[in-house]
Amino acid sequence: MQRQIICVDMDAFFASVEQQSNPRLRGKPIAVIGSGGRTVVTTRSYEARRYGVKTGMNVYEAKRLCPEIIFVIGNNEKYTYTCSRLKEIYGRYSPEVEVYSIDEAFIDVTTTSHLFRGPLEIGKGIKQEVKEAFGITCTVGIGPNILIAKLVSDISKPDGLRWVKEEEVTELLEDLPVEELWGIGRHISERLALLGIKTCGQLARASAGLLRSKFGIIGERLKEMGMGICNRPVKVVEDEPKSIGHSMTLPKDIQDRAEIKGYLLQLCEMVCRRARAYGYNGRRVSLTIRLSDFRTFTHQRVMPYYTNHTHRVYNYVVGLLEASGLNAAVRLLGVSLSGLIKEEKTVPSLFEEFHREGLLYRAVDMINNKYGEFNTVWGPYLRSIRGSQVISPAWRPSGIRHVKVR
Amino acid sequence: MTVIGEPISVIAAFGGYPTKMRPVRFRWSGRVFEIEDITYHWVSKEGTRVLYHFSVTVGATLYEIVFDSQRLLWSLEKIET
Repeated sequence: MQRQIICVDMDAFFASVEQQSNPRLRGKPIAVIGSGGRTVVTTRSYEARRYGVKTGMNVYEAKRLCPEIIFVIGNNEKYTYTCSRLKEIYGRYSPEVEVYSIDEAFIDVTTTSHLFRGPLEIGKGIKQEVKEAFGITCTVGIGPNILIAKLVSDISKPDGLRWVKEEEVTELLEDLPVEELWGIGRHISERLALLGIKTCGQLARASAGLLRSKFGIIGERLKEMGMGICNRPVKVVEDEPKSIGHSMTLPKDIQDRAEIKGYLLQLCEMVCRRARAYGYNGRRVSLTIRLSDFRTFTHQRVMPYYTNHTHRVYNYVVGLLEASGLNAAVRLLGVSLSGLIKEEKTVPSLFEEFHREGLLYRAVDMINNKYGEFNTVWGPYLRSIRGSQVISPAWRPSGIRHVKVR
Repeated sequence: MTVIGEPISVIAAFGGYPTKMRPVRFRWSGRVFEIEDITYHWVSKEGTRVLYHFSVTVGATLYEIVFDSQRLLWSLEKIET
């Protein structure tokens, strides 16, 4: 049976939500930015794209390209809620739904499409339901695998709907530049160009041996991609997490050690609270520091025990900070806990102190579960900006990758 | 948008799509506002509190009103004139 995979990609998602929310923004060039003082464009409307405004630009660059651009501070709760509701809509057509990012999802309708008169009708149904529920548009690409479905959705934007069947894939790919394929970035496409490979058709005909010699184990995979072959399944169940991490771009560069430690304690609490909520302990702690000149360092250390106790992790993170010899202003801090195992597989500590700590964290977690995140906080970060302000690419509508963002 | 954060009285209708609850009109500072359009809706959580947010228009003005389902209170959160 030919697989039928749907890729749903929301059109300029955050910007479309804001234009739908506020009728005065409709038809105008807008850019959604974060609430911090030095944020960049996270999404821009199609009207702004015409002026060359791109994601990741700072507001000054965007304003220079498009003087009439309107900056809108994003409302992450709106976007994460909408994403969760979109998943419900997709779930009406198939149980095999993978929310790949806040604005993209894959749906395997191979075994359910006959119930809805084919995948094209499902695509129409999804587009109609999304429009009715939220007033925004999405593009639906349908293909025999995820790679082609994603490609079809990318080349059909905005508000598109297209089905490319297996027998049409070769023709679609023949003259398509390799960088259009999902997973082939600028670096790989430049290296392919040096081999005289610029289109997917050329990539498909390239010698597997040559690709292997130049790209190692991904060489054959690249050839398959050129042929439109992809066996990656739609992941309905999330993989077990390898790490739990949080990072934070600070409101301003800071050098004061006490202030840095306040943010580190907060990051440790965010990491450990999530680990406790999903029953994980970790053993390896990582500290990431980005300086004001964007140089970035990551330091790691393995703890002698598995834990999800905030202050235990914090002590090791501070140890890493001290050992780093940091004496410059910091722009971004990140903490992650890896080497994860489930709590029930951890040998309980024989020390009473450990047990008492656990009860304290449990009590604080229960208060925050009832009254809201950061209702009860540790003293050193009372004055810090609190919580996640950015939707990470790893964000998911449920499970351990679900992080509440403000 | 200007942050207001004041309690309001609301008449709402229940049932329908896409929102199961639709605010119809609200009273704020002694004036009654007839809602013309619900332009967006979303739900957020603060601990166990579930908050229903509505972006609504009255004339050319955009309002964000919120229903706190635990406290059974409506509030006017923001205005954009």
